[in-house]
Amino acid sequence: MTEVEVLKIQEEIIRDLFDDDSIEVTLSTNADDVDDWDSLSHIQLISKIETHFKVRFALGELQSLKNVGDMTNLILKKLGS
Amino acid sequence: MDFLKRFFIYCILLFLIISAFILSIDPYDKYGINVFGFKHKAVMQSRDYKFQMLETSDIDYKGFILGSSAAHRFHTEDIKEILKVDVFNYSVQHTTTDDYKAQVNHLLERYNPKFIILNIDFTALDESFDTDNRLYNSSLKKYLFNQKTETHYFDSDYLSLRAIADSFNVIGVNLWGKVTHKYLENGNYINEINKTNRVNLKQSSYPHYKISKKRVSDLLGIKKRLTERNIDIYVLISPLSIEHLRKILDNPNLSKIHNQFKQELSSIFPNVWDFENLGISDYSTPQYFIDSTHPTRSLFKVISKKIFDHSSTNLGTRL
Amino acid sequence: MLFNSYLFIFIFLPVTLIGYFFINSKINHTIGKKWLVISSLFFYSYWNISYLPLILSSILVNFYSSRWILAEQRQNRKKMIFLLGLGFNLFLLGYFKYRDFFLDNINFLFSSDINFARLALPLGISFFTLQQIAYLVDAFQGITEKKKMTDYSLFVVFFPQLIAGPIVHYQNVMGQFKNNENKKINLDNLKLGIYIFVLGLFKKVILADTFSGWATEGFDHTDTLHFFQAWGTSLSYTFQLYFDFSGYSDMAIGIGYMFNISLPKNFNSPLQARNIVDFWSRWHITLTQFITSYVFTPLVRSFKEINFRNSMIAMFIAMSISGLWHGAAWTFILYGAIHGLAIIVNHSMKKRKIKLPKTLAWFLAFNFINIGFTLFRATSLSDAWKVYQGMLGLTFFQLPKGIISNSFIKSSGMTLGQHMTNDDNLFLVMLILGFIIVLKQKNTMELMDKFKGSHKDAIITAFMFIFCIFGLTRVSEFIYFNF
Repeated sequence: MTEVEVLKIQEEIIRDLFDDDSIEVTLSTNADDVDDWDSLSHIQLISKIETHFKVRFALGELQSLKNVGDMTNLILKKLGS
Repeated sequence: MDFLKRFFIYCILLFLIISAFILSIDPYDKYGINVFGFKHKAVMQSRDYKFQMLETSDIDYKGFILGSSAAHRFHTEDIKEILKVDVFNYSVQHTTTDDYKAQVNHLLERYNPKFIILNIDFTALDESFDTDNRLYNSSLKKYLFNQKTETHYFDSDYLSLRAIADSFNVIGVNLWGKVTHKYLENGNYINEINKTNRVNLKQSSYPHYKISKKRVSDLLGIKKRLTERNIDIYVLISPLSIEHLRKILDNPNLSKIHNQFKQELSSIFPNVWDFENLGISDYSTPQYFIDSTHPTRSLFKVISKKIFDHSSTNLGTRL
Repeated sequence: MLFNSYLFIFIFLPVTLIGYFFINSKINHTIGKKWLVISSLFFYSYWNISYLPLILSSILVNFYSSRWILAEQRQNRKKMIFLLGLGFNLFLLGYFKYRDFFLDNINFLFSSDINFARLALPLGISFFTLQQIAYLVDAFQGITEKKKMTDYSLFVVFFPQLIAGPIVHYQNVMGQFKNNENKKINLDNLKLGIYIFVLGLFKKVILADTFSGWATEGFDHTDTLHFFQAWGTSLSYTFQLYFDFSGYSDMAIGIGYMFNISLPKNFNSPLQARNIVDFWSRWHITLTQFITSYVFTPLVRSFKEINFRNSMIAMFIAMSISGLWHGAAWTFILYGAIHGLAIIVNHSMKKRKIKLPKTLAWFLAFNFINIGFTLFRATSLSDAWKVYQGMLGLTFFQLPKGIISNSFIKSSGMTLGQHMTNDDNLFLVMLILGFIIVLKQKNTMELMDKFKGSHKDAIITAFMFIFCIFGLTRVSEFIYFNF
């Protein structure tokens, strides 16, 4: 999978989670950019991503996910290995 | 690099300026410096102030009152009226037996007392009730012969924010004259009455009270020194308001300790006046108490009459 | 050893700093790190040397457990070592911190009279245990590699964050030590470090310690509080706690910078929060992150489905645990629980898209936070009620002389005026100042971003520093030392 593909899928998931099709998702998108993105929605997002991409984030990795770019990198790393 | 250099230089400069400021004013009169010739200085606390009063007084005091701030309003004139001698009120804040030891040593050196009145608080034998730091920084310190004083992180009283504030206070007061002396002649406290309609309950739970063997032996030592010189000792347990007393007695543990406290005292001194009993219920009004641990002059007047004039009130019993 | 002491500022810190960079340049970095480890252990033991064996054993057990976990291939063996290691940490914490609480409750429930000598809480145990648990989990989940003893020890004991955080992740801090740039002294970092340290020192020595006078008076030395006293007491404590803890974190971060290490920020104007969820993203941030990653997440994942209801349950449990972590008392657990409830309410409101006007939201949040902190400070539920009663106006009203009544003024026997710390006018001034600082003034992190090292900065920093130097003679402790 390429970075662009991973990004696109995350965009769909995010739009679906926050019920807002107008959200633009780029590598730098983070919690500040979307209303209602807090720790609760964060864990829901993580869970959906894990389900969709069939990966598993370690607890210690969660904190370092500051934006979509970080998530993309981590997803690619896990897919790659 | 500039920031660092400037920072250090400013630090040193400021420190020197502030220190010079404080020292030139010498707010607690520790060094006898008075660059600006101020008439009034801020004396730090009662231990030093009363100490100085005694050192510089011409009066041949024959009686002394020792105690904590609870004894502040024990007026010497009321005793003088009955016993016809000059008395000095040497009570200072937050005392423990360490203060009494030092004070007794001081008095025996400078005066020829005929009697000492010891106003003992319930906290006097409590191990967890610490000795006030200020004792170790006052002129009384040298009267704590051979006692190991706890080291507190005090370099000097002048290296403190309070010293800065007091230096400004000294300037302010001397220029605009708003002096309010708290300790008047003979160590008596300013005339203060309880203008409210209630007696505020102070802390009455004493959570870590443990009878201190050291404090008991301190009192024994004091008694010994005084009886050696044939000085009469009047010991009284400082009155507490009825509400405060009830709080203590209602707590089974504390009540036990309270009894022990009284027993210890009566085993040290042959004659102890107990004003910390239920007889205080008639006197627990704003006329007689500033708050639950500080009696007013009026109450001490009643007490004086009882102890020295054998008046008959139901207040106070001998243990 | 305390940060706010002459010994630390004028001896320990300069010696350790100079020693570190000197050793780095003249010998090598590994010895330099060992120097830091030894200094940090000395810093720790200075408080009480009997704590030293405890932290050393904790480090050893965790270090070798994690090594073993990383080496072990078989999943079930791995899990077993992990659980044993986790158990050891929790046992240590549980024993020293909660044993007395546990026994007190047994005595209470069964009217027994088990006598026991109270255990003293080893310094920083809550923090270094938590940090190592996180590392153990990371090892178990395979996101960390085998480490050298020196590096691991430094991660645990690095003195700026050893005693009260910020809680750090291994890679965050040790990665920075590895960086060659950071091995030599960096004057820009040093300037910044001094600046931040002084800000923290000021908050602690001048602000927190002043408020603590009134807070202690109200909580510990007065049996009944009237309306103004009660509000004065609870607000004083809120300000004391904020300035104390954020001041400490600032000092830790400042010291970190002097060593070229950037420690994570721990506070972000929490008293400006407009709701409780927001509050926890601004208060003790590293703890929130830890609880979220290592407690909340596994809890929520343990449910079959991650829906709203399940996440709220997990949130409530996580917050109660967080409360309990702070101390062994029902007041702490209750504190965590009510915050858990508030978060649930907050999320429910968000779900229903209920929005409040900004000022009202802030007002409600601030009062809730203030009330929570009173519970945090109280030594028992009845103690907290004493303050709440007054705040609700259930005791009595007394028009105080000035604003605060006489019982706050200790007569000092001075002939002139009152001292600074016990003046009722001073209280009003400090209260207003407190509100201005927390609501309007830039917080330390924001000031840090704007720092230029200008002439003005040098003067202000020097002023604050010297003022603090004069204030250090007031003996005090950090609140979070009790954890």
